[in-house]
Amino acid sequence: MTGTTADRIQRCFDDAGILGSVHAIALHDHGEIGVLSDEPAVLASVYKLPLAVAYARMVDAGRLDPRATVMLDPETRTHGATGFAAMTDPVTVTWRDAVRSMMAVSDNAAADALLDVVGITRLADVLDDLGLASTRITGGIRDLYASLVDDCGSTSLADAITHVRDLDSLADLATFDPANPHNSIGTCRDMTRLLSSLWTDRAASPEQCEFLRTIMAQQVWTQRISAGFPFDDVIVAGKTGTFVGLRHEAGVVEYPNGEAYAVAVFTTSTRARLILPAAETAIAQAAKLAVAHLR
Amino acid sequence: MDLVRHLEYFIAIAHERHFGLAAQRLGIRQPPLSQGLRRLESELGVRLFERDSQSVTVTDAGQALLPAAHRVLDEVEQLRLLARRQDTSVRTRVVIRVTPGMGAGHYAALVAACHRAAPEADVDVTEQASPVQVAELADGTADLGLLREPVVARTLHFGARIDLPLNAVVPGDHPVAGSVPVRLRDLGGSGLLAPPREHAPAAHDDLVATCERHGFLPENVREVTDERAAWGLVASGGYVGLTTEQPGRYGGVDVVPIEGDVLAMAVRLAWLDALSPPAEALPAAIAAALTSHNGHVRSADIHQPRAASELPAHRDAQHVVDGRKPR
Repeated sequence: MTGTTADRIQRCFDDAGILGSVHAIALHDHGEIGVLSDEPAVLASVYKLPLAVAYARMVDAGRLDPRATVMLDPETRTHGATGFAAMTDPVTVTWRDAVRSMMAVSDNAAADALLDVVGITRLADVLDDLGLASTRITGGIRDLYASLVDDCGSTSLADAITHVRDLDSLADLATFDPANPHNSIGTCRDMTRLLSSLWTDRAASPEQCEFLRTIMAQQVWTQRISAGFPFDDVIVAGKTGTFVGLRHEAGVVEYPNGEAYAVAVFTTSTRARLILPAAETAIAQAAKLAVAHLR
Repeated sequence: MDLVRHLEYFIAIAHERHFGLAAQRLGIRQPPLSQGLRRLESELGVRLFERDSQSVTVTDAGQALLPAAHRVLDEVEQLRLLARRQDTSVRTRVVIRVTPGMGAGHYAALVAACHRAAPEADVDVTEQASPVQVAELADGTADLGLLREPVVARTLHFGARIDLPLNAVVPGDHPVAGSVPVRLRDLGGSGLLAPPREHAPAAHDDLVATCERHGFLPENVREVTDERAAWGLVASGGYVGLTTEQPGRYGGVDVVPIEGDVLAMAVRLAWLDALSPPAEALPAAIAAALTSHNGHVRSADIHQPRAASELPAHRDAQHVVDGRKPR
């Protein structure tokens, strides 16, 4: 392999047959590297990261008690593959554990319940305050589902998924189009900026920042950024986003000597394949190359 | 008699091994085709095909003459090209770059369709690996590309996806050679010959993964650029290949359909900006040529999504499996 790090990262994406963008910064000395860092992408579950910051600020402001409980009703809560969203019966949980479930296993039911309390306006204020000018959040996961159902002219998400799997390309769907004003979008650069503020205790109070860093390190998925750093003494704390052709992660790689790197990798596949190991591998490889460049 | 025209008949029948299909390919009716073949056989003084109600096979004499017939037609094409270059009037050049890996039949159909659709232009068709194709389409070196899926490009326009079904190439003495269609899992124990991965890395990986999905884990995957060389390796034993060529017996190899048509070479036309005449006629002409030549618009099999997708698991799974697109 020859060429600049950016060339090598681009080749990872080309090899996997996906579109990709990357931004990485060293949190201790402000070095940076990127490939199409300002290219917007539909965020999918990565939006739960700014939502968690909004939660932390509500706790700091005394507007939300982290120990108060919320009942997630199976009739009304958002469905999903993981966490409370995948369960059958009513669940009562504290807000802080709902947020933990939202970050550690990308729980859609917890996320949309939290969004109802936080509200789009407060979330927009957080983005504005953190200087995430290229990020726009218009709704939650139920809105993402509704968009896909609408895109496909379906009556249910099941129908829509069937339809999507029958398509020969996702490129024409409005749900995955960053230029569509109804979609929640962001850039890799904005996500590393957010992570930087979270790791330097600027996003919220030090206590709440620590809580969010802890639950991000509890994330169960290891096939993306984590797979690039398979070392027991290296901690990867991240948040993935996955929806049909979208595969993202934004996270921080922490070495025991204190070096820390914020990395965001967004990828889009035009193939309507839900399982695409080559894309996961490309994300790990891109993160590894970016961090190696900064070290 | 018009020898060139009759040699075209000969080659079309030799390729299709079916009078009806050959006539369709030539865009003529079957009776004049049969008549033309009889005239050519009488002119050459040899019988080129054995035909009965079931099938058409090339005779030994026909096999011996086939390469010469190809050479004659190539030379005629060269002659026409040269003549065109002498023409002082400026002719539009249309550059078409095609992904490697299509069988001779599809490739020939594509080239013929381009020349027919843009007779007034200098049509330049050659094969090129996908990564180079994207770069040349983006910088305007090429006008039109036929790329392997998944196509990765931000700036190009795309045509519909076309699936060219892949058949298995097995040694003539392979146990599965007689059984039609062959199951991929029955090819176990063989290596797989495939075009070089660098031509289209993601497509290559998808192909190998689909083989594994259907129970065929190749002993090894060997990259061979030239399909003719690949078929020679297949004939010599130990390997199987995949091709868009029609089923049939070719020398030491059999081309046999695969059960369920689970493998396909997926291609898509791509271009940069709005195409102007005469190139604007080409996407439709190429798509028509490839689909009439045993390609088809994709119809995917439907699976239940897994947790990895972050999509909800559905209680009405059967509905998802059996459902068709609602639109």
